[in-house]
Amino acid sequence: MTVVAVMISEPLGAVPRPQDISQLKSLEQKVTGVVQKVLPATISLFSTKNGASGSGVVVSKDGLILTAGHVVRGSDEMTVIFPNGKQAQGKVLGANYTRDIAMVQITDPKPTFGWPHTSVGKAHKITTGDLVIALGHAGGYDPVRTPPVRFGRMIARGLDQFISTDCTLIGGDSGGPLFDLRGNIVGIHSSIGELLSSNNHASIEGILEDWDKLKKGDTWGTLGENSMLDNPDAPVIGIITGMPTDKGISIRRVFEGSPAGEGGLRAGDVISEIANKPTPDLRTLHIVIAQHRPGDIVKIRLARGNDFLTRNITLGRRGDILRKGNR
Amino acid sequence: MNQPNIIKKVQPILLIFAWVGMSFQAIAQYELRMPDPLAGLSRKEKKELKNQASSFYNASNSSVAQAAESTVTLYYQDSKICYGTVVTSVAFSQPVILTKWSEIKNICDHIVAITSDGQALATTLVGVYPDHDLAVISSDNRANQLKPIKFSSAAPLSLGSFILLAGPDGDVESIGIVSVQARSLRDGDKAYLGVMMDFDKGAQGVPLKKIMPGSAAAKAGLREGDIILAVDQDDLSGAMEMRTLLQRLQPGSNIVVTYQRGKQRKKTNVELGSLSENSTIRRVPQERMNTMERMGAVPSNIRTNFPSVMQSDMPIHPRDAGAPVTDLDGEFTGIAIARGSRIKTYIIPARTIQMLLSEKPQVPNMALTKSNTGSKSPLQLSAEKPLDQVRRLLGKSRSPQDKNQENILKIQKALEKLRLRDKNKP
Repeated sequence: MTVVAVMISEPLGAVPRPQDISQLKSLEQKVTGVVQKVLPATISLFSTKNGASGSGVVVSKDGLILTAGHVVRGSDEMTVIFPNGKQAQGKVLGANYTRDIAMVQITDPKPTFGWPHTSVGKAHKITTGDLVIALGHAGGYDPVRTPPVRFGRMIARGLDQFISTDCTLIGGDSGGPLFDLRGNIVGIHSSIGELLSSNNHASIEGILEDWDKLKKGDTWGTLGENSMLDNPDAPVIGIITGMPTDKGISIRRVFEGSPAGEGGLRAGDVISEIANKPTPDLRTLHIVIAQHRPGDIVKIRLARGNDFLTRNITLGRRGDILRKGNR
Repeated sequence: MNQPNIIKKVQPILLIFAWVGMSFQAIAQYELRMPDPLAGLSRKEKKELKNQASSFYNASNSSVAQAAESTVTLYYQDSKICYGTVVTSVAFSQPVILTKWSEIKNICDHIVAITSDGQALATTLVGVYPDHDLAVISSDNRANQLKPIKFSSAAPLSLGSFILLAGPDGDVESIGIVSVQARSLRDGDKAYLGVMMDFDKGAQGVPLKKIMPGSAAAKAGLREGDIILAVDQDDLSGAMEMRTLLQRLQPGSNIVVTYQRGKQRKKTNVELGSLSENSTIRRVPQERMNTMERMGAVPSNIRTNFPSVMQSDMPIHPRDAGAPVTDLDGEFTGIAIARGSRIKTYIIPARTIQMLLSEKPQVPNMALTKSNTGSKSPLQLSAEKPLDQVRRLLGKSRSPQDKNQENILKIQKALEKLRLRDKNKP
């Protein structure tokens, strides 16, 4: 309630509106200053095993990285590339797929002065009209170019701690950082819509709430099936997972016509093994699925009530599940 | 600053989209957690955003005043084709107009230029810089009415600097920032060694999986199974690092490669080739990028392979190409050459333009037969109701309706002159 009250009482005049050239120039100076500071920490991430790729931002000297949930899905290790071309290995820590956020830790020995990084800073809650700066390796890492910088403002706040801006994003930007004009991270790029003003970012508030769990390595939540920035060629079985149980991963929903549906899986079933590997947590399930291709047949062991069943499932394409209207 | 531009220029369209969109998209988008961000805003908030956008335009208008005098609008029949920038060149005694070659290619003898002060001039094609997709057109005997752009000696802009598209009415037509400094988009400008690297990180160096026959690597004696340890003085921690290093070098340059073969540590001298095709690790799948590039944007037909372009997030329409771009001080930054995608517009830097203008362009006839820019035929363009088109385009700017009519009359007069001229040709 207090938050709501504060938001309402805040004067709308707070929206920055440059009145003349000198005010524009002072804004410009802030933008160029932030870019210079944060660009070296805006990294590209990719997996040599499943081809997943995206962006991220290093937030500590020790090499802790913030990125998007859908960028790390199915990977336990990722290659980190800095804008200066230096590369390092990273280990995937935790992910909250609902908020589309994740952490990766660089495992290579730390350079003498630490990894190039930028601090999360004191996140202040940004509102409609606040000016923001987006960076990311749009289209994937490109050795002859630094990650493109984009400028815009916050448009609106959405569900699940998402915010939208008019900083235009495209494939490869996922996981990249959004900054305010003080250089604080205020979001992580997640998805886009058709409009130039529909660029969606996981807000820093959600990340700070989940920080300890993410760092500890917990993986939970459900990815929106929507993200245009996500890979439609990824293999899927077509379920929404629920909470992990002591028997495995519970199924909350099975998409109609999906591989899981065709293969006879039902909501309430618990997946205890996939391709002969136990699935104690969501991350293991994702990693095993990501090691296959759409069309591969995998054996899934299920607990249904007191029974144990085995089903063979032909993996589908993420894009096809989407097309069937399962959203 | 993308939204401000949209809101200012096509606000009615945007709002209609938002309203219509709500009826059939609202439910799906709710579930998608991707609501149309504008649909969720109150009227007051929308107004705030619109006023904010206007404030950026109003505050920067004075910066483009001078450059805008050099902006010309190019018409074919009743359609705006694109913009042009007036320049002086060593090859021509009178000021000439630089514009986007692929947009005018098929109609280059029938282009009418409307100057910023409203003169309609018949033009002819006098030269082409095909690599840069630039054409030089000239207005026969009335070139003295053209005001050339002033080149500055200001320091190059920083990443994040604000830049402005100077419309012919003296207004800022679009605002963006410098997203990426000038670079070549041509693969041929990147060095190529000719090896397939093992991207799975080993203990040390980069193992080679395959050597391309006839490549620089093959000529230097590298073999499958060799492990590259260093390029010149730089030790390598992985394949991405090596790839980056190589692509940043010039084709034809020499490097010393240190590698391990069996238990031996060896060195070899390599003269690098040029990257002829895309590298093996491709990034985001092309099909998906094609869709995303068009989301919220109309890309130019010719939008890649430029030898030198700066990248900006400035949103433009393909027909805004050819216009001058300035910084906040009003200094000429470059010429907008293409809308690349949803996120980018390419601008040929002023320095590159200046270098080009110190050389003679290609003779038009040669360029016409030789170049294969594959542009959409302007005849196809004009098939889409030219008058509606010109109204829509002119409606984007602040010009009142009667000014549009005035322009159309002028164009018709100029075209009439052209026809007479053509008739008198042998």
